[in-house]
Amino acid sequence: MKDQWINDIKDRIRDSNRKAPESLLDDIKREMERRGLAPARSKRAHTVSMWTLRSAIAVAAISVAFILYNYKNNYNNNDNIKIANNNKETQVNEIVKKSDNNLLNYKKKGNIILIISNNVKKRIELISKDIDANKDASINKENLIAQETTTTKETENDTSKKKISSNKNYTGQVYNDYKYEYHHSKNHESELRVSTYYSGIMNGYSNSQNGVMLANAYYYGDSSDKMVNDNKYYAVYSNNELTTETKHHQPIKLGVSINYKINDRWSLQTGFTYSYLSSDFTINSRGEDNIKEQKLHYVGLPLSASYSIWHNNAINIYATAGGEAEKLVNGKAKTTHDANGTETYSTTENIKSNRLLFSTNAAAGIEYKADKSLSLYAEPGISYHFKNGSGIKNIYTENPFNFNLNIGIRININK
Amino acid sequence: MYIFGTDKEKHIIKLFRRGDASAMDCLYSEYADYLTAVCARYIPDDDELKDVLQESFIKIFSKIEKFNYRGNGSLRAWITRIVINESLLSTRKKKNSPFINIEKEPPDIQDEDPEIGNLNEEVLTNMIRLLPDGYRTVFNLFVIEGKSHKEIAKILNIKADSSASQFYKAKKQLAKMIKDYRLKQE
Repeated sequence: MKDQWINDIKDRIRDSNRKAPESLLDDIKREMERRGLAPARSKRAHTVSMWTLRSAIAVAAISVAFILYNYKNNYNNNDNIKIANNNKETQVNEIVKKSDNNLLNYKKKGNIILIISNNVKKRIELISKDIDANKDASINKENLIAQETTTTKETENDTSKKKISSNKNYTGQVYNDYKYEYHHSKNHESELRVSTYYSGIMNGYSNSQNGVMLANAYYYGDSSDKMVNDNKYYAVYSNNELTTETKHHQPIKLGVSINYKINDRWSLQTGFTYSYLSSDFTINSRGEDNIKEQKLHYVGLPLSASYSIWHNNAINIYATAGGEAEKLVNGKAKTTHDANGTETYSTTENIKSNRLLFSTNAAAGIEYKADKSLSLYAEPGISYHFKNGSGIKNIYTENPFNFNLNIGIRININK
Repeated sequence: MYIFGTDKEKHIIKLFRRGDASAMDCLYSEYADYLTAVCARYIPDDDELKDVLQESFIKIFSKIEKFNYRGNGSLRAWITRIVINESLLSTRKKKNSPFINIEKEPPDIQDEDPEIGNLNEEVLTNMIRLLPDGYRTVFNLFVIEGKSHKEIAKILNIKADSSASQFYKAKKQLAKMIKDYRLKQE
């Protein structure tokens, strides 16, 4: 509570005037001319750069390739595996999605996950032989074309949400070249597995979604959402004309897991995952933008069980279900107080939470064993992230219930 | 035609959108004195004041394209904010950490509220300008702009406690200045 005399001062000086410095306007005009500035005439649409996100996805994609590369090298250097020429090329080239205008949100929200599974039940014994010059496993990911424009805006004054999503064409290709000869064992319980998969969240708040096939373990894009936010930074200017945009970028998720095969049908997986969730919040009031960039790093402990419903030499159809507990290990939010493009100062705050973020998921999976060492799989499924009451906003608090489509590659090494 | 009252802001924005040569003059003549008063509360040095105002107007004129008119008062609020932001930026540039004050404690005076009486706005503003940087900035943001100490802490990158304590000290010092001024007058 302020003292009365303080309030009196406020009332007296708040709207006061003071003679402007002499020749100020002339100086301003001169300076503007010198800088080549002119007052603009028209309003310009607000655009958001995609480059940050694209860079992040590119780094993730390179990481996946790098890990696979090293992993393969380890095989070769480890006197463990018999390698011979056995060219195998797998190509997946799919994905053209043409949908209604409201579709494709799933593309905006996805995960890139790398999983290395290792059966701990038995020690793996692998024998190496000759090493081929072309032994390096590589994944070339090409032909990624994403054209998208996503604009979302919502104002409090609008009762109906306006959303514009353009048609997007996505073409992806995974090209794998593995050269292994498999030293087959009857014992399938020991299994070392590397898998990467892409997890695309298929639902947004859009109510009509068509299924889309994803061909790659990565893609770039963004996700947009909007919500009405508080007027945190506008105590003094607060009014009912507040508009807030929230943009949740595509989550990036990497993981390492251990697979324990109980029997021919059942297996358990656990391990740990790392997730990076970033969001931009734009708090706009009377033309002034405050941009808050939030970056959250989670480490998670997943646990799931899989049941093979049917399998033969080439195809494995299975169901998997489980849960995951994730802990926020690092979180930062940088707020740029920005008066309509007039960047002036920024503040950074640490985001902390001791509450775990729990999620559960279930999926049906189909795995195509392209080779004894290599398989491709797709897992359409659902996941749900529980509210943990931490008050931290991320993509999962906006969309707790998601349809996932995980597509990946597994390298299996059996004893 | 220039219309006074609620359409004033609309009119100015329209001039800018049309690319009217008088747009800058119109905005300037309408708000220059008001913005000078706003800026003067933050910037005690007159030369610096002019520089900050110049920079603010340049930003206003060159960024007005992005401004979304959202009703009467919104233009004024926007330009005020630009001036305050520029003022804070200038204060920051001046010193590395202007908001950590090492000034000695203000004199301990009895907690009687000072009498504002007929002190005019200019006298009061000049008193505020005499406060140390930290006190002055916190005082302005808290009292005039209505920010909370938590918000001020974020803006100035200080602790909320520190904002509260700066305000307390500012208040004491200002109270003393007012009392001294009134004593002189008598």
